[in-house]
Amino acid sequence: MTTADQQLMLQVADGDLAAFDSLVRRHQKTAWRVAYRMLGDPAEAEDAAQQAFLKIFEAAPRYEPTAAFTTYLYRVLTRHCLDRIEKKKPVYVDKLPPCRDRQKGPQAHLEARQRGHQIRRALEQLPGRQRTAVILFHFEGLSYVEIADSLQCSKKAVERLLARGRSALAEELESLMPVNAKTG
Amino acid sequence: MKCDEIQSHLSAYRDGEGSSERRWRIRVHLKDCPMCRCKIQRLEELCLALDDAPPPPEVPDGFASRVVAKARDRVDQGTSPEREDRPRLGVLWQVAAAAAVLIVGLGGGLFATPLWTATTASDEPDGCLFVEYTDASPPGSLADIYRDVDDPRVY
Repeated sequence: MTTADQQLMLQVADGDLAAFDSLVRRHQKTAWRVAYRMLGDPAEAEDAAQQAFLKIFEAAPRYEPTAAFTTYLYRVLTRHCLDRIEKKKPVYVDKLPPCRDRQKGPQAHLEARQRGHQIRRALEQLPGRQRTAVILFHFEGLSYVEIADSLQCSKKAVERLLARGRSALAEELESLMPVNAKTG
Repeated sequence: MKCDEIQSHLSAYRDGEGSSERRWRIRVHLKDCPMCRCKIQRLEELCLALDDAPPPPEVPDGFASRVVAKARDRVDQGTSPEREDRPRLGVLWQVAAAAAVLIVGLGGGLFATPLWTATTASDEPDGCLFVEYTDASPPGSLADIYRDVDDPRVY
């Protein structure tokens, strides 16, 4: 945990809303990104990220800084998203991200949209914990140990989750991979 | 290692995980096995496809403000954060635990002497095991006082 996060959490524990505001602004991108990747729907993602932050706010007096704040955030957020995935089959919403790179031509933009669409749909086919492991590894850049901490499982379990998740994704995303890699 | 076993570890191998011995075995196997080489190539292609995934949308406008507003609502309603002024049961639990230790200790002393002595070195006084048993009790608790009473070194 950085000193700034630790200091903010201490202030939040005292009910300091300005500190909570700073904490949310520092980490909102991470929370939103993970929730969106896991749930695939902007409205669901916003609600999940919001609930995770509120959970952190409520639990602040009991918080113990044993790891980086982001690790704690990942743990609370992924647990929250997993609960939602388990309770309800997520509805696939064909709402695409806004175009970021206006230098790209319409063809490149269309291809990127299709690629994003396929990847999102393939991720949604995965069981929740496999999906979480893949997202945290590939999109958040977490190590096996950090994923294990977030999912509260062993490193060996992360290894299995990633292997199974990738195997299923490879089946779903064959069209995104070169032909010579599909054999075997 | 056979192909099935190798393939179950390829994902971790690709990420640089696993013991050095396992990694060495996989490396040796891959040199001679075109099928497993294809598998790891396919895995690599998948990882490249994932790396190439478009980023998610930007955080919705006003997200942080909405979260903080909800937190403020909860504070106004007196529900958050969970305050330390909730009823403290710690002292009651300590007394209850000390009483339980005392009862178990007395019961053990009266009825279970053969069992205790069976697990205690013969040159130790009988009270010694009980002293160890209550060592963890909080200072000033009933168990703590009982331990002192029972300890021949104190009296």
